Amino acid sequence: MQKAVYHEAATMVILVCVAALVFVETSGFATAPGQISPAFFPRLGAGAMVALATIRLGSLWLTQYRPQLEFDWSWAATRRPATAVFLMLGYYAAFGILPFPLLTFGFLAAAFWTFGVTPWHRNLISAAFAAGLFYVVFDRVFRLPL
Amino acid sequence: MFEQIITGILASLQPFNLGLLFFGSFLGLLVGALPGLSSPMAISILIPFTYGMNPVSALMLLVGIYVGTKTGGSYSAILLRTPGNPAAAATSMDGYAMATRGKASEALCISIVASFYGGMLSWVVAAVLVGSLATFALRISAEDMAMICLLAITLVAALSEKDVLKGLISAALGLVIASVGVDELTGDARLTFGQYQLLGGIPFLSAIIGLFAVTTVLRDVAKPRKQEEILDQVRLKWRSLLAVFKLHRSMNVGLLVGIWTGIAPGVGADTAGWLSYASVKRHQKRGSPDRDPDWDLAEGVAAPESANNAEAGGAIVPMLALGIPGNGSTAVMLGALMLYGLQPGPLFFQNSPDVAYGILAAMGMANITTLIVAALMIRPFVAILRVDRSILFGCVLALAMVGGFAGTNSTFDMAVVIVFGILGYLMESYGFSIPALTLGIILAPLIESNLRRALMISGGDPSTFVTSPLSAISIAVMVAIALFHVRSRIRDRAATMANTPPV
Repeated sequence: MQKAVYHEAATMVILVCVAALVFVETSGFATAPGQISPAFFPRLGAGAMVALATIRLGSLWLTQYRPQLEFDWSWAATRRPATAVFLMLGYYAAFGILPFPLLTFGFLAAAFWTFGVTPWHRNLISAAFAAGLFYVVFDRVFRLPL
Repeated sequence: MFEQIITGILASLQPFNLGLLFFGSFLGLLVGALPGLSSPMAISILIPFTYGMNPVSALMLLVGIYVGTKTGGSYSAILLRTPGNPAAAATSMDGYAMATRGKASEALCISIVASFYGGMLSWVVAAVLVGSLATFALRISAEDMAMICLLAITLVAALSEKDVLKGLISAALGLVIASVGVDELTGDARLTFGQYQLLGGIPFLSAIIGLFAVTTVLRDVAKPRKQEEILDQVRLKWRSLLAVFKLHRSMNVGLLVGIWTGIAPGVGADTAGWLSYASVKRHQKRGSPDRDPDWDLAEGVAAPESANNAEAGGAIVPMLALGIPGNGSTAVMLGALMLYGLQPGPLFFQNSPDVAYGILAAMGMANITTLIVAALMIRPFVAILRVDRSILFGCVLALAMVGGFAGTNSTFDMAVVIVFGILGYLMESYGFSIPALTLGIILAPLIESNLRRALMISGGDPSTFVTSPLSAISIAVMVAIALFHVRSRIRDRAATMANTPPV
């Protein structure tokens, strides 16, 4: 329960920092008379974030509000989503460098393995089939510059 | 108006558009049937591939998917007790019970016909209401429009999520995200941090793909599910299809609940399903003890299925007439319309009548095409439910990356997909609201332009927001929601203190 409180407080502090960044970044706009500044709307949103985050921080402290949700940062819980993100980053980095069918095949094979597709030959066959389908649809039919 | 709807229907009967409707219905049924995939996800991924199409044709496909997912969710709800989408959650209660009694085919037939019934009749109501609402909306002033949009966001945050405060924070974050880019009035670059790629704003489509498609996959792969056994021997029973109309009373309950929950932003099809299910069950409890249990189960399937399709028809009304989406799918479709250079709202029916009435006609036609596809493809869809979800998730991620790239042929958009996917995953894990964030992003330009206009007209006097009746009512409702939330919190805390033993 205590960890949930720390997580909640940290989240609210991060939101306040983001709002502060918005305020800093939107300073310095020159505004003509009778015109609403371009900073008005982003600051309205940021101000709402600060107010609401402060209310939540206040309720954690003053009314001893205890949040129910707690994100599990352990590797066991985040292994699959984290691996999926790294695979997507790898796909993004290699896009345009490796040929699209090969890159997509590698991505899909790795993703299927991560998500638990077994045995290995089923994994590879499924990845090859899907990559081929992607190539035909996006490169040949839609003619994307892949 | 009637002639224009007929014109819209005739446009949807053109071979290409009709083909797109059937294809969209098929895709929608497939997406709806597969747990983990959702209508906003499918629509957002397909949008980039519709750029070369006429907007009316593109919307035929997207509307087909939207309507199809409503019906498709019942397949896995009935056969696996796992709703394909939240809207089918109530269906899984009695639907799965029917399946275990050897009546899976009957349950599926009931869901297909009840979905058609609710969707078709709500479409008739939507067609009548939307024109009147659009005409009325032309009289809405800038301050009214700004406050109505803020009210819509507040309702979504308050009604759809458990933590109202976090829902509101999500919406505020959406307003900030939408501010990135060049200010349309002054031309100043806001929150671009020197990045030229952000001058046009955050690529909306890539953000939506990340928030809906990638987030869903990241969330679902974190907790692997065991695939349950599927019941075989499911087939279409024509007699059952026709017999469903005897359940008209429970279908009408679903219809009424669905239309109103669809029109009110943020309430959602899952709420419509549960409300209608609860209503039918309450009526059954008060009835005679000699009731036929099979009939009761059938009513428990017909009502929520009618409701969740009726909700789709209701949600179209504010989207087209006011430019305010009623749920996640209409939010993404609204985004698609904006990407095609169109702006739903009070002037939509005047400025783009062919597209506006085309969408309206597509909603009606999509119910018919979905009925046909669902009835003919019961067995193939049941077979598709055997596909390993891990394979589906991998393909969805790859589709999301390619879909993000396809928007502007830029790898920067692919990066946006990844960033928003991570953001959405973290936000959901900490109890924030993705629908509220999305609505904030979508409605921000409308809110900002109307706020600015209202303040400029009033010479910077903010009292204009309380002197205009609609605006004042919207503010009053928002304040009431806030006070209600505070009161609930105080009550919960008092209950917790009362239950905590003294030290």
